Amino acid sequence: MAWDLLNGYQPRTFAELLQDYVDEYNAQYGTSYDTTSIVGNNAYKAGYTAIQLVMQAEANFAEISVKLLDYIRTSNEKITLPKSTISGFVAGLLAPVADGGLGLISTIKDITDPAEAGYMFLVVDTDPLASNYATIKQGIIDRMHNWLTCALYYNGTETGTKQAVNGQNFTYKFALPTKIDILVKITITSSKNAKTPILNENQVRDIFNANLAKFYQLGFDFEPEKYLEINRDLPFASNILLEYSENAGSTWASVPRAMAYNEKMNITEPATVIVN
Amino acid sequence: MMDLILSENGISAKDTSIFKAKNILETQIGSLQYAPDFGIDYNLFFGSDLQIQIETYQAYAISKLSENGINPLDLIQEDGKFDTLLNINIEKS
Repeated sequence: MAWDLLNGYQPRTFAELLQDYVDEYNAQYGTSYDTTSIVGNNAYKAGYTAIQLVMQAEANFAEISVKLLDYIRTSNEKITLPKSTISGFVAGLLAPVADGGLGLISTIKDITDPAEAGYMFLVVDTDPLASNYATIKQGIIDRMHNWLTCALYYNGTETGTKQAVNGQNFTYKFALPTKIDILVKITITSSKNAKTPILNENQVRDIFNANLAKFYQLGFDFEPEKYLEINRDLPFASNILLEYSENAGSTWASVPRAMAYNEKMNITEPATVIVN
Repeated sequence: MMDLILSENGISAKDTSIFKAKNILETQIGSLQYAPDFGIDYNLFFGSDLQIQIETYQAYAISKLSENGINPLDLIQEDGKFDTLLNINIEKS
């Protein structure tokens, strides 16, 4: 079987195996067969069966080598990105449950003050009112214990403990997102040249909600222009004005709102949509 | 021509071309799975609607045997009441 770095082991073909068989047979019995003249003999019958078995075994072996290569490659990738780094921890927590994560979005504060060296500010976007919150919380604590380095000072409102292998108990803390309550108002001006149907308020609101879920997450700046666009979402519009209010509608703004790592927009009421 | 023989004493090798000749003349389709395009399909000759003369089969059989390295020495036809027996002697290789 030939080895190739790209493809691994290559099983031999029937013709190659037959040639080997004929060579061995000639050496054993002093005959002078070639791969054509041996066809039809009992020797060929026996060889045919044997070659099928060898081909099956070689195919299985090649399959195993490919799986092994894949396993080594995956392991290498895991080693390359240890979970104790910021990227590794955030990616590890976001990974599906089947891959050892929790599927949760998280952020970590960028420490720029020397006085905060050794402090860990972790925010996890999860719902504290969920019925299985206790399990999720302990899941987060377990992962902090397993993945983060020692001698960190943890901050946050959510506290839990985890026992180390030597019996010591360690306390871990993380925070939930700080919610910024806003109202959203969407004003759309239809184009007189519109070639596509004009959507009603509910349809526009559905598109906005879907885009928000897709493009916005904990710690991201709130950028109104991103969640409804003429070309992508509303080709019938000539202008879209997406405004938000942080004071229950007293004043409205449409410029991007910078958010801290632990802040998340919380839209308290369904968006008001006006289509003109 | 050294060939393998399976007998009561197990597998052995003998200088013979009988088995190859037999395989060439044997019914082929569905039976010689290890060499599907080898030999003569006996059933095709005698089982088809088209009547093929026995002389044609004889000539074809001799030709196929020679093609595959088997040397026929003679072919004797014995006609019975309801059947015909073809006796082919081949050269020891």
